[in-house]
Amino acid sequence: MANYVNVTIDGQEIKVPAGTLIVEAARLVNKEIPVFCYHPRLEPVGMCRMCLVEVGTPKMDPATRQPVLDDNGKPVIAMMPKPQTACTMPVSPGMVVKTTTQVVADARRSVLEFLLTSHPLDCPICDKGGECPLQELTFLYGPGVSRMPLDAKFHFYKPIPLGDLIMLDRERCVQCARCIRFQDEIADDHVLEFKNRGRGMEIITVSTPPFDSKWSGNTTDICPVGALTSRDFRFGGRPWELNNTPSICPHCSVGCNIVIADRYDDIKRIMPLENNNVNDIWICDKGRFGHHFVNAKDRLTQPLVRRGDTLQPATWDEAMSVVAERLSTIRATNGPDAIGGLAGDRVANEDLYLFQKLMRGVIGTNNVDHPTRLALAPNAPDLIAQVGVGSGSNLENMGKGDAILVIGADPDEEQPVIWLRIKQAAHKRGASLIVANARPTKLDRYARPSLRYPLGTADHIALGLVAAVLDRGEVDATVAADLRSLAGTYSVGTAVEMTGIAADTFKAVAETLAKSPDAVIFFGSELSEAGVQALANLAILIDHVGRPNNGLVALLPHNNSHGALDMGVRPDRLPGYLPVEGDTSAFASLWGAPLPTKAGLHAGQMLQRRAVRALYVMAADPLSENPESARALQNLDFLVVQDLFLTETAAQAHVVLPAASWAERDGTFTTTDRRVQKFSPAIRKLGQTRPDWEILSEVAQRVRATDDRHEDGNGHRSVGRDWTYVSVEQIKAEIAELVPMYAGMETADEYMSTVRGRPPFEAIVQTGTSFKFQSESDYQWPTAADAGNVPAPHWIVSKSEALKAPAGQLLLAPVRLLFDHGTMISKSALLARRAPGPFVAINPADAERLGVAMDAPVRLTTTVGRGDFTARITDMAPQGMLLVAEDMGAPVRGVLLGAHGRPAGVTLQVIGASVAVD
Amino acid sequence: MSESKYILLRERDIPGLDKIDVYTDNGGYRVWQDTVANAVPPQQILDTVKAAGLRGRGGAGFPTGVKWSFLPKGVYPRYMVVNADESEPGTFKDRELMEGNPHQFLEGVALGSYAIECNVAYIYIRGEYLSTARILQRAIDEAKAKGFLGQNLFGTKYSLEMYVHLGAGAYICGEETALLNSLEGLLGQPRLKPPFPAAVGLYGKPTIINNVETLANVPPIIEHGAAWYKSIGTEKSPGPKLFCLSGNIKRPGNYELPLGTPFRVLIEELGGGTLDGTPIKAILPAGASAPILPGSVLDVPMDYESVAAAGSQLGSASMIIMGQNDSIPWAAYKMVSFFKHESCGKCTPCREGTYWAKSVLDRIIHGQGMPDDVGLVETIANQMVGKCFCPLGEFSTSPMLFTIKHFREEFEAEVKGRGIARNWRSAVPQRLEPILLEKEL
Amino acid sequence: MLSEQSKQTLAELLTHYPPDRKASGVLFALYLAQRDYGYVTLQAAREVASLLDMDPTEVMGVAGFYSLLHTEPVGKYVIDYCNDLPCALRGSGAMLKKIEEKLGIKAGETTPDGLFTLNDVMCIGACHRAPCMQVNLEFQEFLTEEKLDQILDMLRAGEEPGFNMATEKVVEPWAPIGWPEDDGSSVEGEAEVTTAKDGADETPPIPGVG
Ligand SMILES: Cc1cc2nc3c(=O)[nH]c(=O)nc-3n(C[C@H](O)[C@H](O)[C@H](O)COP(=O)(O)O)c2cc1C
Ligand code: SF4
Ligand code: FES
Repeated sequence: MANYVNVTIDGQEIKVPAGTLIVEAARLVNKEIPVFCYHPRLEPVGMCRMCLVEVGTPKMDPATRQPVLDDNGKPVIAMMPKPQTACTMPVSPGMVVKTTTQVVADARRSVLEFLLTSHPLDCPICDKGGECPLQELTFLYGPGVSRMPLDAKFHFYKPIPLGDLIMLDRERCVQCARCIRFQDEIADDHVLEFKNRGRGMEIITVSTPPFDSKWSGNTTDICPVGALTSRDFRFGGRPWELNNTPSICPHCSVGCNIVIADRYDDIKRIMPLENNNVNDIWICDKGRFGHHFVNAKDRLTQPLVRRGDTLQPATWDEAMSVVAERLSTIRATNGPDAIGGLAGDRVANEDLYLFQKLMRGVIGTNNVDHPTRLALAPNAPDLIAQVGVGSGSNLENMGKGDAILVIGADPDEEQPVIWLRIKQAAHKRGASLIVANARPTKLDRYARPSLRYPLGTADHIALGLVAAVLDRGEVDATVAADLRSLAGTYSVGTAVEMTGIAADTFKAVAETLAKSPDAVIFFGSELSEAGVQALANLAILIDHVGRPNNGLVALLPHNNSHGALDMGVRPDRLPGYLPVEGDTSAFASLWGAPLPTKAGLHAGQMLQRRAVRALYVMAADPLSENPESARALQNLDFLVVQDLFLTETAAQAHVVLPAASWAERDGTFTTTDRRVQKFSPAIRKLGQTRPDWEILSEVAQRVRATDDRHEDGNGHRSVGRDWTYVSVEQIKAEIAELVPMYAGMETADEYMSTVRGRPPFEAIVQTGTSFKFQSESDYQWPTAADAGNVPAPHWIVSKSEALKAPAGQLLLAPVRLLFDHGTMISKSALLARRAPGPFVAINPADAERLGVAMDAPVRLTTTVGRGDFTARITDMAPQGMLLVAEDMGAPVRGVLLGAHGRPAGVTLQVIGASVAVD
Repeated sequence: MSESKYILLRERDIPGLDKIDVYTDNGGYRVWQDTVANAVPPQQILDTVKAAGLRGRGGAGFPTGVKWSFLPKGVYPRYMVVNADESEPGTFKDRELMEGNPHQFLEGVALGSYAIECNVAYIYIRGEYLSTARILQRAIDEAKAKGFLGQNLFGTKYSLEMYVHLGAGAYICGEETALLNSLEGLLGQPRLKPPFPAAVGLYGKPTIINNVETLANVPPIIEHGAAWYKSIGTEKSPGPKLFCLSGNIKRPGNYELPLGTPFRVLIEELGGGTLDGTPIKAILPAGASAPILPGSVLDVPMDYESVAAAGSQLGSASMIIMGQNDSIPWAAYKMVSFFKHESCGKCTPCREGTYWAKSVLDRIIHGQGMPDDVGLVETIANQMVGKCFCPLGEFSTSPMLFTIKHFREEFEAEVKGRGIARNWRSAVPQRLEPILLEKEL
Repeated sequence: MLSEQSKQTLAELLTHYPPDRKASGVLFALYLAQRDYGYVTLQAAREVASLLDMDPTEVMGVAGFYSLLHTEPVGKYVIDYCNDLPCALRGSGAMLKKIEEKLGIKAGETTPDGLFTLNDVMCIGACHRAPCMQVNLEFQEFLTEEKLDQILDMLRAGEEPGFNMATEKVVEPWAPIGWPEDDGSSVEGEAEVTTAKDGADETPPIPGVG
């Protein structure tokens, strides 16, 4: 119900919502108003004075309070005596704006001349050259010469590092404060500030480490000059020689839209691609700087085959023959279930689809899984398919009145852009945010309330909320009665007992959630089956399902974790969550093969000794995650690994097949909120690498051809029809045919097809370094609830309880950090510096009690082993709990990974091993 | 009660007035006590101040009562913030008031706070006035001990706390929104207006910001009434005003005179003319911030309207006097240097313009000016006028434009190498003597 | 580390502001830090930041904005000598040269023994008592060469209490040296003029007529 007003800009009358700023109104009708400090995503400040325009308003008769009319019956316009900043002044009814007058032209020329008085003349060696608003605007409106006394030009020492990733050239800075304001308003890391005043003003950072923010790269995008440049891209190429390809970030499960900019097949930089449904115009530093694995020196470039003790280069033909021969033979001798397949959740949907099709349709086994799946409650994927957040969701549309619940998750470290979007919904637009976690996270700052529960009791937050909702009434009586009978004696009181959180808080939160028009629930891997079911119940009972911005989101770890679930890379479900025991005839007929009907082994089981005889590993490295799987791998008759790198697992393999990276091929990834997004090939494939799907098709064809020779061996015969895929499109078509929820994904195609820079003037406003699609659409696959099939709530009894450390010990909680020592970061030298060494976070009170000093080396010992760490004393660790970041090298593994206390090869999801501090 | 010929600088007649007992013996805090104890409606105080026509003494001369009435209805808490940043070159009136007659000032703050219905007042005082801040703090402590400030005053439900907040050296913090930012712990840069502080001020709450002298006028106004007050000064600029006299003048200091007193009375009769006995060449009526006036204005009355009509502003009434031998280009350079030093850096024209103009003036007064330099200074100023974020930048154009307007020949002479700026500077040592002599006056 | 006394003073000061507005105490905290550390060191900024729930960068930015806060080492005594227009019209420039000679440094510099930093500052509100200066924020006015020598000698002997605020009980303001004797004929504001006599409200007074 926006209130519209009429304004006239340079003679053109337009209608815009009341409150629109003049700059924005002008953008709507393509009238150019130059800006520096103004940025559409930041609060207006009006400091650079570039946007000055002449403004008039209708003259009012003080007596009648009516506009005074001239002879022609038109309102008389009273022009304001001074030019006004278009970036701060909202339009008002009847306003007249003039952008083409001499006064305005003089103002623009003046401001530019001022800005240039001390600006260095180093455009030829400036990274911003070619996409620099200062350069463009000077050409458009600036003076041709400088009248500044040359010897009086302000000088600074040339570029200085502003942290590991960003360089600051203070001479080029125009003091627009966009970077400071971005850090303040968007990233909420106040690590940049002006020091000194007047002409001496310069950007500083004194955080530890300097410019301590996961978002620093974005400041280089919005800096309207070459003051902030990326150390990664510095002198890497001129913008006009770069080849820009739309893509999807290969790191976390948010699926930020990006542009890969390369020069002669060398990736120079990653830029954000505007997508308001996903990442707006921002990306985190991992996405921006973590691309060097693509061109890493140690990438695999040709197939390897084991000869004796060593892996030796081989031709594709040789390697493929070995693979086909071995798989076929083992299958023939030991049966299909003697073979297992493990995939990573970083490869494309098309790869994952073919992988499970290979295992099921060619080998004939359901032994297929991806190890990261085991971190999640087993019922979570099915529940998401039913009551996941409604398709068409966009957190950007959540604000005042709406509610967001985040439970047992730390999106700040694991899904940063989701953190950003939740934070903006709560902090900027006033949505109610409720955060529940066993430890503090950065999201707590905006949470009302932020709930702290004892480690291990996350389930009871969810169960307690369901109980509170039942107590509230307003729930269908029979549904309530059914649930209550299943719940037995469980009440809000039980949850209070388990979590120590007050009953009133449960009530208040239930009330907030129930009353809000829209509510989304995000959860992480801390919840067990009972907890996830309770969250689903909660959403169903208070009717937050089946609509956009309502329902559950599982916060998954990797770029295609959701795709791996959707594509049936799991022992019990076919693509589209079809149980293997159910009616699988559609698959069988399209694949031309009968399918195995017994659920297969899961990843943990496959990695146990003698569980299988052969293992096909694609884009996964189980050995690095679980040293105990070594013995299982050693005992295999045959191990084939398909990867980018010679991982620890690959080093044990009989055959290693080199895969192409995401940047070298096309495909689709599915985000953690179920958006299916396409990426395109940006650069030529390295060496002899091939896309995973292509490798899989050939393996399938070869296995079948080999099988034909085994035909009358002992009755086994490979199955399935043609595997002659020549493009990803073909695979996508097949997926769309078989998997109803992916039927609509073709729209993702057009969406991705065109990316250009912004229209020239928009580029100046946004600062020419972010990109936008020509057409915007997106595909978020529909849930059952979206189609009107809301499941009945169901109660699962939770066995979880607070974890206790034995006397004299502390709880150990593994956490994930954005910057870890994983392969994808460690190959990017600059980014790798941002990853801390192995450290243990300890609460100040505990530190004092145990006499631990900041940064002191400490040794942690668990039932698994021991490791040496640096102590970091911080409130972020709750009292009695030590936090250790996973994926931080050997000491962490020594403490966390081992045979005792957890099954070999299961992905880590410990909630609390006890440790003693030496 | 002893008589004083002063309304504001009463300590000059009443020794020890900075002590609370002396102040109360002379009728101090009586108005305040009556107001609170009798639960006088705040609106009544506000109306009296409005009727008295008191205008802000901080520079802009905005009617104080009108400003108070801008507060949005029903929004609390509200804050009173006193602007004791006094950093305009040549201004030292608030300092004397706070040091000599602190209780009258505090009583004014109290009455103002009561009128705008607030319970907390902050006095933002420039860091250089540390010793003044101590005196104020002592006065506040005294007043609290006597029950004039604090909780449940005079047995009523009304409470009022006053806190002294020390600045740390930044002229821009005298600008009211920059002051608020500084008080909140941010960089002292001005805020966008609207919203105005009366609506969204300190900590986002409705806030009134007044100058020290403004508030020191309030107790006499409430005591003697609006009609009495209006009888002093001129119709549009009523009341007494403190004039700070400095520069090339025999008897520098603060003078309390009714608004509308002619320049001549202050400068010649009271100030004794220039120190070096030369005729008055120029007057800066409001420190560095308002246009310079030639000596020919001596008969203009010093009130807001007349000074404006003469081509300048009364501002804070800090008169810096220049004699016939003083170099105007040099003074312009000095003033522009001041603004360059004090520019907060937020907006482009002021940050860059003051720096640029200073560097051009620098070479002018060093005899290295280019033929076009005088015009260049004017151009720089004209490129700034009307484009700055806050008045500081606009102020800074005065010493560029009006020094040249009135004394162009001096600038031209400098550029032609015939100026006096350099010689003047080297001639300075002789200027020391008169000052030392002055002690004997 | 900030001294216990400073921490206590700061805690007391913070009661002046709403509880969630601790940042309001930053200028004062930085004065204290400057007293304890000599200048605003990185460590000091971090400490202040943690006491006030701010970010160290923010604190450093604030410290860098204000003239009276120093982010680089300064002498034990910071002499802020006023050489702004009103004082300069009374010959402060010449006196500045004299101080420079006496200290053997130029304005903006610190003596090698770390005792004095000399700054040439903008108006400090003592134009009517020029030449004037502040030593660690204590006014010294009506300067003459003899007074200057006296002051410097005293400072070299260490007789100066340094920055303190009334809220700290050690209020022993450093007595300004050598003011004109109070012989009843103070130099300043010799207004024999009245505006209005207290209570005399019949006729507006005429300036110039006592
Ligand atoms: C750059 C600048 C500096 C100022 N400095 C002061 C000052 O030092 N003291 C003061 O009272 N007002 C100063 N003002 C005026 C204040 O902004 C404000 O108008 C005044 O405090 C309002 O009080 P009043 O209405 O009582 O005059 C300054 C204004 C500007 C633009
Ligand atoms: S005019 Fe601009 S730079 Fe100057 S003080 Fe005001 S806001 Fe700051
Ligand atoms: S002032 Fe409007 S864009 Fe900077």
